[in-house]
Amino acid sequence: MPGLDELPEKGWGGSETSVIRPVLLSRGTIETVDLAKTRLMCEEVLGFECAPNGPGRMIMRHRSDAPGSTYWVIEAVEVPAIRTAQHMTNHWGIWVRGREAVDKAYALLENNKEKYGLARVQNPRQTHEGGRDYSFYFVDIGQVWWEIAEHPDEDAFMALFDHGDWDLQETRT
Amino acid sequence: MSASKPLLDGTCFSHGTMDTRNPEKTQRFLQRFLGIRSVRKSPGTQYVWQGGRWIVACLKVGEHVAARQGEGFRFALLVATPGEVDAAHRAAVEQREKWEIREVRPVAVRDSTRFFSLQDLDGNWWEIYHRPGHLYDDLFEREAAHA
Repeated sequence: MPGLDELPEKGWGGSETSVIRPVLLSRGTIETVDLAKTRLMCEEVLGFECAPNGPGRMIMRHRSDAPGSTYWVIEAVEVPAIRTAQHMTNHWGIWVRGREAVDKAYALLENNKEKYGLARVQNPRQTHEGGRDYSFYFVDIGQVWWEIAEHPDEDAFMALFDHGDWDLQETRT
Repeated sequence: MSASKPLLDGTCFSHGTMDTRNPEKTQRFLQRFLGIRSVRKSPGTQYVWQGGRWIVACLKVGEHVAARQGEGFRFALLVATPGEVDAAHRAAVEQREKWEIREVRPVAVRDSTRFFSLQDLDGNWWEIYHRPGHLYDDLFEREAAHA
């Protein structure tokens, strides 16, 4: 089943007459006070590939995104002090294969908080609407929140929103 | 670039997250000004995407919750030409009141990237940019060559 691979081809959810016509939502940007530790955590644990794009900056692409095709990146910028500590509702999400993998990730991060400079690692629990997911959150050295969650069935995930706005139930095109 | 296998198997980078205070109003801005896709899947959550297989989950927070994303934590939209960056900037300045845009930074150039940032009605920061070539392939290829 194609799952989220279908998403770029879907026609619903947009406007035909927008002011800006972007090609791609392609990047997020985070801050860190220790670029080396952020790189270590993102490469060694989360599976990102990192490449410098200037002094005190790097671009991170996840290994699950094939080179050459469309992918999105996070740009990490080293700063002396974090200007705006993030909140749980401003997190980045990583899916792993199943509940056991969530628990494994939790143990790995909890046992290596100092190595990766983590500020906080929360216990795994049922999360999201209706408790449908199993995940945990952690906060890195740049006050960035991350969620590690079990990889949902992508078709079931798509079904959460492929009929359009919940209160309009527009027909998808 | 590390060639070794990460400690966690089978990971997938799936989503980012941002705030909204009025989901319908936010959705109009996302769709009609920024030109990205959004579906409100429930009263409190809308999924936002454009061009890829990843989403940003836009979550409703209280009306009086202060803006908390910060300029250093932006979402960036790639446009096809440098001229589109300038046109988007002009539109952001001209239509600032209509869309309740809080801040519009000047257009700037860093290396080969032409860009500007704006803070939307919810306090979230967006960057509109153009960078020649295919995404960041050149940086990853250079890093791989030096590994």
